[in-house]
Amino acid sequence: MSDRATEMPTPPALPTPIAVPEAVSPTRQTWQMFYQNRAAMLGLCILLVIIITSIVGPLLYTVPPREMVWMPLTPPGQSEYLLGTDYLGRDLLAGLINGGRVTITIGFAAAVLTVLIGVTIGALAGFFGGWVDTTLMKVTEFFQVLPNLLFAMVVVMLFSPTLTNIAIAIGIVSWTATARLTRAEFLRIREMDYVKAERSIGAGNSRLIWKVILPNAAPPLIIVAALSIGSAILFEAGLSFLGLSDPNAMSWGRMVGDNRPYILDSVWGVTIPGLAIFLTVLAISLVGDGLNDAINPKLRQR
Amino acid sequence: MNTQVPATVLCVSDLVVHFPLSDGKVVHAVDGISFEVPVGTAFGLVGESGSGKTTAALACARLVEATSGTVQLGDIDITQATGNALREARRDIQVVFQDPFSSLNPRERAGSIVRRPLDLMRIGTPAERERRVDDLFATVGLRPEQKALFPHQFSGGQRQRIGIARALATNPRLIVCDEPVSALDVAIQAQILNLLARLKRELGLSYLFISHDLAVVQHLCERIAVMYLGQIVEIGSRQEIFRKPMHPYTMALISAVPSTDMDTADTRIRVKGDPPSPISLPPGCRFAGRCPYAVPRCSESLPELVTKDGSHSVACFRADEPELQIKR
Amino acid sequence: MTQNLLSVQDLEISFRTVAGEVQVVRDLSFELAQGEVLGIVGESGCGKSITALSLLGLVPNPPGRVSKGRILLEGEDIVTASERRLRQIRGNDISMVFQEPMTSLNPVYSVGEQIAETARAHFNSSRSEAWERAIEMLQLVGIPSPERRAHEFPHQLSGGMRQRVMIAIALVCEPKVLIADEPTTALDVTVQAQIFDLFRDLQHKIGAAIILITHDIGVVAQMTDRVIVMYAGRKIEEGPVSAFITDPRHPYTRGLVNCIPRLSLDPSDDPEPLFEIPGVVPSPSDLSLPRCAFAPRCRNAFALCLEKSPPLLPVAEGRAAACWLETEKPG
Repeated sequence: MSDRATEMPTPPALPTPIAVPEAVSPTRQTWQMFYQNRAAMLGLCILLVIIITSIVGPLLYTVPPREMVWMPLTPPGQSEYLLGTDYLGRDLLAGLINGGRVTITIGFAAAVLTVLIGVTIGALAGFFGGWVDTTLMKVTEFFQVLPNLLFAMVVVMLFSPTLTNIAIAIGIVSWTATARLTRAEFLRIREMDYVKAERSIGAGNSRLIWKVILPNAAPPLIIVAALSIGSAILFEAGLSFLGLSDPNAMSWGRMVGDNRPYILDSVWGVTIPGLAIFLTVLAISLVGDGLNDAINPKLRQR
Repeated sequence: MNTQVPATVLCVSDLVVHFPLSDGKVVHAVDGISFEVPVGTAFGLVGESGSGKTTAALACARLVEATSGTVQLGDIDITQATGNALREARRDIQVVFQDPFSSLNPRERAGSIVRRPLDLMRIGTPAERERRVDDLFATVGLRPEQKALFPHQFSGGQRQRIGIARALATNPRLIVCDEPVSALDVAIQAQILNLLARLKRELGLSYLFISHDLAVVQHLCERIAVMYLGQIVEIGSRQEIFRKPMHPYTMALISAVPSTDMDTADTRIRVKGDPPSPISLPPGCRFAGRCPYAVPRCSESLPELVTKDGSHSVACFRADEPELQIKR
Repeated sequence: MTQNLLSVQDLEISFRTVAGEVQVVRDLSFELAQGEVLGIVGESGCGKSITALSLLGLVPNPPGRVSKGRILLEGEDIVTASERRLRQIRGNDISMVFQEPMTSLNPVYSVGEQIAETARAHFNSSRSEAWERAIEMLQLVGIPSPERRAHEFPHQLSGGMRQRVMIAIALVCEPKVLIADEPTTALDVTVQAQIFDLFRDLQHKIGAAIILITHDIGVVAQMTDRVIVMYAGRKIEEGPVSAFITDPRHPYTRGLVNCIPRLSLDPSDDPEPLFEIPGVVPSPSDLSLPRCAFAPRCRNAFALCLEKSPPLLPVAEGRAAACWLETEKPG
């Protein structure tokens, strides 16, 4: 079996030794560009702080978020509860810390779902083309023309508003853009000669899709995935604001929604969780933009 | 496995590749071509864009599905082979692509690109594969230390060397070269052409060489077929084609090459216009509309490829007439 | 000597990169006379295309800029000209034909409109006059049934036809200088031959000076009067085309002329290996050393080549080369 691999004539003398540079993978180049981007690094730091706070915070700051602990509608700085209390006398800081956990979990979960559905459908449509493409794109169009918020509301109301269902509802309504982008990337890369070359050495379809094309299609998808965390957080906030939130979990959107009727008595109850949402989504956008700049092929092609 | 060495490595007969369009029309990319590639030689397919030369070559490597006809590689018809038979056949026919910037996966290291065919076809042990990759790098004029680098860290010529090393990995009998130098700078073209010539001599390789550049084909190929709109209009040895071209299109191609010989400027045959579209083809000779020697008969029926002398064939009604004889 | 139409003096073009500013063109000087066809030859990255853009004031800024030198068009400096003045110069005095005819035409206007629009802007003529001028131009560049073709859109035309339209647009304002940057690289040889016939023909009729940028030695031999060879941003040889082909002086030029396979009408059975220039073009950031930029690839390089970059010196009547070997020669 291996006989053919060794029947090579003696190779000619090696070309004169040269200084071989260090190997630089495209991925490493991207990270180097990313590290040099101050705005993106700032976004990343903010995001890390928020994520770490929402993971570790509840262990350190043990005030229960859903119990009355002080006089309702206390402004920040006027009690031992740093950010004051809401209309039920619940500690806003505890709400913020615990709600962050829920909000961010839903954001990530929904984004993962968005990417999974979107990439699978887009990859299959773009790679196989023909009737597979036509069918999958019709499905995509169907989901695209549905009014997102209404459809998500229907899903959540039909299957009780648990955290899982909310994440699934958000994922189901937001994968279409990812699918389209994935398909476009696959259509482009499918025609590349290195894909033909892989085929000519006997690579099968699944290797071509997942091991050859997908890694090369990944850069723009990573940007979209990052940004979709932000939009999932906003979407969750919107649903909570409309009262469709898990009654057993505190989230930032729910805090805004709950405190909305009392906005004239206490702006803080709405502003503080609102700011948290704003800051998180801003940080995610900064990271996404930074990734976009770092990945921009025009800067890297030469 | 290689007990008997046949005289021809590849035998293409009546190959047809049609692409249906969504509006029911058909692109006649390749329309019934036949040729043979003798062992240890280079066979050139020349033509302009739209002549179907690249499609024909890709069909021979089963990267495009043939509509009909056969491509015989040893005992296997590549157009029909499936599963393991196709995988086996793919060992023997490899491709070098035109654009060295798109033919290498940007996310793979050079060494693993070259090793990939051995991995996929499970040739040798991992250690043997690694040694083989070192040999291949040396064969194409790269240093083994460069295995760890990524494609973007190489120049165009070096990338093309990597592409050639990958094609050589499985020790194929035939390499399809699809315009392997046309994307390279002139000074680099010479390096790659010399490398291909050396490999042919040293490894006894055969090439199916696709190019639009007559000078390159003349330099490398023993036999040459000229394609026009999906068909071979003339086929012959290097000497036959250039000493005594018989088809008006071949003559036009030869005289259109800007020569560095400053005196030949005015002995030219000029053709008018552009080739018709391969979707709606004229009924007669496909070149008739641009041919300076066309007579009414040419646009009525299609001339067949007829052997004139030796191994020299031409598809032209008027090939024997004195008007078409080249004056030297 | 007659008054030169275009005179480039000590041109230097720099680009800002992450590694600092690099010079992609240095110390470039040349003259272009009325009615002359000048070829600029070199490999990709030698600075020939950016030189062409600088003649139109089109160096992308940032990251690029003309950092030194003058470009005099009939005595007027293009480098310091205002954007307003440059717009007048482009098309009226200097125009350009690009390599890729598909992307250089606007897909949403008919070709007639595109030619007429250019004519109207420059001649201040009426719509109908401009349209007639457009049809005249299409006729001039050899497009059959121009009245009908003028209404067609770029995607309806073949590559050769589109390049003819580009030439029509470039010539409609009767420029004094026409710059053609690889005008036939994207075209087939039979069509390339037609386009070059057209160039020759038009040059007789209109009398514009042409700067032809190409990598194809055959094209240079057939089309030009005089040749400049560029390597790594510098002019390394200059001279009449016949001398360039038959007796190149710079080792790089010699390599360039000899490394291409030449079409022979009586080919031999066993062609000689081609002449090779080893190695690759240096990147602009490698050029900080004071040596001759070609020295690492040169078979004849000696100690001096690695110490000092050779100046461009006359080697014969109307010829110059930048090589230490040439200066050593007697006479």
